[in-house]
Amino acid sequence: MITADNGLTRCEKNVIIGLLATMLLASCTLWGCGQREDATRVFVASSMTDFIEELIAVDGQNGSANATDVNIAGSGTLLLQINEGARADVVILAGAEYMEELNRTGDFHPPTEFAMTKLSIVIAPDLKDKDLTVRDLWSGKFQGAMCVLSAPCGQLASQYAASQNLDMADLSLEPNVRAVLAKIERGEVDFGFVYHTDLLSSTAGVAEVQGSGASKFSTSYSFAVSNNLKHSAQAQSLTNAITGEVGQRILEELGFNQP
Amino acid sequence: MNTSSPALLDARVVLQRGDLNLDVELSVQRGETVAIMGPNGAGKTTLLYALLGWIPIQSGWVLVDNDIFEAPGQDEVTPTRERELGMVFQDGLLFPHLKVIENIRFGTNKDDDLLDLLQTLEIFPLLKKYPSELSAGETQRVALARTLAARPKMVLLDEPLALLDLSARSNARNMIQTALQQSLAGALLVTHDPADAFALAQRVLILEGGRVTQFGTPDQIRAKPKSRWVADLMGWNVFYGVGQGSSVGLESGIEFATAEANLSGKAMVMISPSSVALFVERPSGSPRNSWLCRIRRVEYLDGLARVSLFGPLDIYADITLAAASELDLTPGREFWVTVKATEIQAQVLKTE
Amino acid sequence: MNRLPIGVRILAVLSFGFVSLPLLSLLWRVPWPRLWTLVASDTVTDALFLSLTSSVFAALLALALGVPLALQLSKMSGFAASIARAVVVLPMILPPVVGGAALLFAFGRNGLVGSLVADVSGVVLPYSISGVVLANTFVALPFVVITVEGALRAIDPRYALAASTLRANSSAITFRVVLPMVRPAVIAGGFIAWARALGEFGATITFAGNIQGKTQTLPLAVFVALESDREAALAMSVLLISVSLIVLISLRERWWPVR
Repeated sequence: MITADNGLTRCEKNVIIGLLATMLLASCTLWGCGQREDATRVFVASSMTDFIEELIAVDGQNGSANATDVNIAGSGTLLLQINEGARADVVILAGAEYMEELNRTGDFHPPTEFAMTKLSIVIAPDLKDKDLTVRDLWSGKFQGAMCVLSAPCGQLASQYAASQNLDMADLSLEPNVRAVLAKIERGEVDFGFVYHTDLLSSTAGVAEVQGSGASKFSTSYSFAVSNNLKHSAQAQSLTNAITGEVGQRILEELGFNQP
Repeated sequence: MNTSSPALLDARVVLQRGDLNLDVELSVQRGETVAIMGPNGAGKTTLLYALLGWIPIQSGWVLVDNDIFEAPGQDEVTPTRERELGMVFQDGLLFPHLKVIENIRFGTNKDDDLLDLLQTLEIFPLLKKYPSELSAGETQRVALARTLAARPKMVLLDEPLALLDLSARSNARNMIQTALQQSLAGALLVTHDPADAFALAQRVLILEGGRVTQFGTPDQIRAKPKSRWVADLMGWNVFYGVGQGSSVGLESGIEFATAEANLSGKAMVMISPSSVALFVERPSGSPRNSWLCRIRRVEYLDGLARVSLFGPLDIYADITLAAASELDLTPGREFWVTVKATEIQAQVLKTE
Repeated sequence: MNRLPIGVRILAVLSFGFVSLPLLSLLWRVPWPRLWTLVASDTVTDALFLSLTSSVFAALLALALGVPLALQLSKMSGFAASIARAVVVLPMILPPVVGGAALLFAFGRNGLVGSLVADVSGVVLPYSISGVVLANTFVALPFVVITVEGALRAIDPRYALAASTLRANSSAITFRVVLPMVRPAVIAGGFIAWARALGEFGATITFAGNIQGKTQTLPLAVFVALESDREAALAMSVLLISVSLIVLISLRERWWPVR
């Protein structure tokens, strides 16, 4: 066996190098190599994806969105992450319930409502000429989908169902409203509960079921700012953009209503 | 190629595989065992695989029992399983998931009677065991039984005894002999041990570098090795020199007188140690092939003394124990070494 | 007994800790006193039953499809074999959600094959237990193929020669020699496939949907509960872990390819 100068065999050296590399890797993972600590971190509910992206694109020049890390997930997941210690500077959530839960952590300033959207029942492109009513959809011939109950869109749908005495047990529970819409667009399900804004954003030829009464159910969006900010100027600039002219114009384009 | 040949196997195998350039013609008679010997890489195992149809031959023919498996101009090559050739591998290659009896039954018909075979090869106590529970000797016996139970027309054995220790070897050799005689099939036996070859085979084929260098009975091989490898194998003395007429001269100036004639060019001289005689006094009647040498070492083997001498000639002599006790074989003593001209094998080397 | 170098042993302990620590932390959070009530709900028992049946069927189906494929691959060489092998392994690498979407495009109601099948037989795969089994099989198949093909390639080819000299034809060689010799690998492959199928989430929710009592497997139920009822989610995770551990430990050598 070839012996190196310090008396270690080549094999042992390899093991030691491997060990050191592992330590380095582990310490990197634990201490966070490459985390941008100076960035403003924004947690965004997934139905606000289009809005926040457009806002950052349009408003980027003003510098408000400079060095902004955007974390997109369902409102429930975002809350879980925050409860488990994730640092968030600005949080945008759907539904008042989640905002209340966020408030209970005591780490955030009182929330500001800035938009709302209504519930819609949407049918697949190849059914849109059939003039279907809600009763037709529940006749057993059609497969439906809605959001999981933990998502605001799922809660709205179940509130609607309760009001109409509809049984939702046979509906597929999709992780988020985008998944529901995607399945309707592809015709994998016949109908589903989405937001009015999603209906407007769809280009696949889906149609709304008229006269369902679903639009009486709406959810609101609000943001909250951490009371332990490192870069309050940046966060302030972002919230100003949301409530300001730019933000409101984008919201309107996307079909959101004023609260 | 003779299609009406009475031979059980009649084959010429020509193929190129890596460094190996194989060109072998051989025959095996019914009931005959032919041993194949040769250095490593000579193509012994490749030859067996070619006969089985596992490796394609490039030209030549393979006939067994007048069935043509492969021949020039014949497109259809008979597949291995229809050749009825049995194969015993060096490591037995028993199916590890099957018990001994299931291994033996693998190639048989349901109601074949295996009693004699199992008795000859002493397999009854092993029937319920798995191959992993067998010794090397037991494995080879079972492997042979598995092959013979399928009633092949001929059996090929690839170094079946190589992995056995010395004590198990002669016992296994006897069993193989009995089993082969009972089965009446012909056999081709690849081995590197001359003891196996000479005990089991009626003829021995020497394969070197893909070519047959000698094919004859064990006595012929023993009496007259035709290549350096065989001579070494037999423990013969081998010298190289230049032939002229009936003599061969070495570089050292030593001259061997032989019974050959018309030798010319580079030649090899082979002398069996048993043909080398030692005398205290210079023999008077035979002035040729006598040299005064010194004893280097003496080894006492089974029934004889092997004397290593040096001097003008480095040579081995095998002396009977009786003769050895009459002579004082002390290392360093001088003796006259003589060899009869008729006992010297001389052979002109082919220049390539 | 020959001991390993100290470096290797340290790494081994670290890596075991890396795997077991998160699992222990999960158990730490479980509401043990309420465990039984949480687990005994209809949602959970339905999901458990569905998970067990679908994963077992998926493992069997993966074996039925994977073993012939492995046999064929083990006979192939060259570029064609490399391509075929890469394609087969792809479901392992692909995000399961993408796999689910790909399955929809192929076997969905409007998919390439799915639409044909639906027209001819009226069978619709998504939103049924068959869909769950199909999605699970898709992600589990590579594990069977890799395990079995590796074992097949390790077999000395002379065994086939030995069988041929004993008059075995190709099917006898395959069924009496080759397959019995790789039996441990086939069993191990089956168990790894089962384990993969049991935990499968992404492809299932995308392809088969998430209908309670119909296609909602335990991982899907955990996902739904994680955002709405964390305690229930933890209870179900404990259930999933216990079931897996009981099966894997009680069958020890059968699935872990020792020897």
